[in-house]
Amino acid sequence: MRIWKFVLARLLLGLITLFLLLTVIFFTLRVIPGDPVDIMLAEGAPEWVKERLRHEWGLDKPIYIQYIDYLYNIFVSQDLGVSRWSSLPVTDEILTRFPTTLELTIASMCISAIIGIPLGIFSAVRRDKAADHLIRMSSIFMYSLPVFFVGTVFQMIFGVSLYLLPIYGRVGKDVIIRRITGLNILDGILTGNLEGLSSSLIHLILPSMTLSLFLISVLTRMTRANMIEVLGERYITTAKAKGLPQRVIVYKHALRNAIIPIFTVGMYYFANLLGGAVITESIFSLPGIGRLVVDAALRRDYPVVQGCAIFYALIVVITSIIIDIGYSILNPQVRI
Amino acid sequence: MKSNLVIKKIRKLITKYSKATIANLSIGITSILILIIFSLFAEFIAPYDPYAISEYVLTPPNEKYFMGTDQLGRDVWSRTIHGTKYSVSVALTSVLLAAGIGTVLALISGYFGGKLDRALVIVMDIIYSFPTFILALLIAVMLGPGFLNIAIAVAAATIPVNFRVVRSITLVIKEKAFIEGERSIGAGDLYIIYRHIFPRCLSSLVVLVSLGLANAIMWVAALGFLGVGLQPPTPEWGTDLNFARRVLTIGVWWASISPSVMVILAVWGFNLTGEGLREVLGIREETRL
Repeated sequence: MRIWKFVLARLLLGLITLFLLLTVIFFTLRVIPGDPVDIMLAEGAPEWVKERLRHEWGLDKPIYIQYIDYLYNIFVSQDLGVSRWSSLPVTDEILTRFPTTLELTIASMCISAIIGIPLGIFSAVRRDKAADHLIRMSSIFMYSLPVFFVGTVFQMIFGVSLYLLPIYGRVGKDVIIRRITGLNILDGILTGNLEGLSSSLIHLILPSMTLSLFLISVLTRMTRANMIEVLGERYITTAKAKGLPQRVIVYKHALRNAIIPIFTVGMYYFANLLGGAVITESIFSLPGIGRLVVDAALRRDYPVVQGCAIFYALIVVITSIIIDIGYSILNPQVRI
Repeated sequence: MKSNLVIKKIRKLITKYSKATIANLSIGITSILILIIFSLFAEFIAPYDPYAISEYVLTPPNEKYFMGTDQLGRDVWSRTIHGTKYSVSVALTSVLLAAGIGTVLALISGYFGGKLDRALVIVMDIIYSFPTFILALLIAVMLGPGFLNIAIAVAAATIPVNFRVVRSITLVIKEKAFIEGERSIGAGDLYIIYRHIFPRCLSSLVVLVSLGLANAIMWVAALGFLGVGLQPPTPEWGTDLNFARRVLTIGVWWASISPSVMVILAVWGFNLTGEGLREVLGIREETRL
């Protein structure tokens, strides 16, 4: 019963955060210079055309009415407006593109966890030995590699030189996957489309590797620091005194406690990976939400920019709720 | 005599800290020195005018053009060297802005507490939780390209990190007994903040600034790469890479090499320096970007 109370309280807090985020987004977009009407129209457009557009977009109303309209549209009618460029509803634009980004992000989070956490454990166990120094040095170096550099190098090596992997797009040219969830891999499995599945997987390798390099180094460092802290605890000494094998001590006793902060940080980076995804999507020509944001921002397509910002805010709030609930499940001490 | 003392001090330093820390710091400082030399003496080091267009279009590296030429026949190596001052100065401006604003807000907020503190913490947490690079990108696009605009965009997204760190230090120090003592002999609030609290935040700030510079250089280049950073013909690294990317698939690799290497060198150098300083100054892991 108590856990439900906690979840409920957390959801309420999430709702308040979302509301504040939406307010910040609304006012930021209106304070920033640059009249969207001037940008949309060619120079020297007659004043009456401008007036009509302003009226159509509701820009001639007082700002507090605009604000109320904005909140009403989001919370009551769940309508994010229409793109001023493509004339499609913003919600549709976002929802058709989000699966691409989600797939990319999840894939790179998996890769990072699979590589980063074991490396960190290894580094912690061999603390201050040559291997540890090597791992630490290279993780700082990896951390310093810009996403656009890594992506381009991967394209050049695996795509152009070795001709091993595709360097752009989500699936091969003549592969068709029936859309159920929009996540190509999941759809491939659901429809039993083996060709589509393998094509999507192959297309995902380079982008997700590119995106994960940064998180690998973050997770390695985090895991190492936490493992070292936990390995210094008294109960580890007890476990050693009992004569338990090293493997059991490290994986069963130490890792279980070290994993909690790693989980929190990992989830926090989920939201930040979406930022890195902007560049990755641009390099690998993936039709994701990052590309949508950049294109819309360049065209001053306010409804789309605003819609994407709202969408990111929603993701941020949802991940933070997941972090807190996951944290309370992993760590019995904080269970309220 | 004096040089002997210096050598002794350096030797003491070397024995005090681990080899890894010394290695980090020396590589880091060396690359920062390279950046400083490149940005101050670009006119003397660069063999050609970075803006000069010539008929030698897309020449591979040779003895005349060390790193080859780009689509407009401009010398890539000269542009990279001149690019240093743009990248470094935009990054430096943004980091100083973020650290300055973040620190002042945090000192006031942490010291006085109350409603202002709560409001600021909430606002900072909200900015912090938002994907920061996207935030910088959106601000950069909305403000339009320009030296100061890019710096503001990067700064706005990184203020919360500085705010958090400085505020947490302020909260600890303001409860110390000697602050109470200062107050009882009539010291004003601003005096206490300036004389006692701010100096104790400095070592954390040094680390923050170093790591922040690494981050800012990366972001400025990334914005340039996406076409929303400094605009051509400015020889900024990211902008040049965006230009060079168009001919990459037809086999022109040389135009991309030197800007990439410089971005990596700069980011790596500031990261290493930050990490090294963190260990030397004994600061814990919280100062992460």
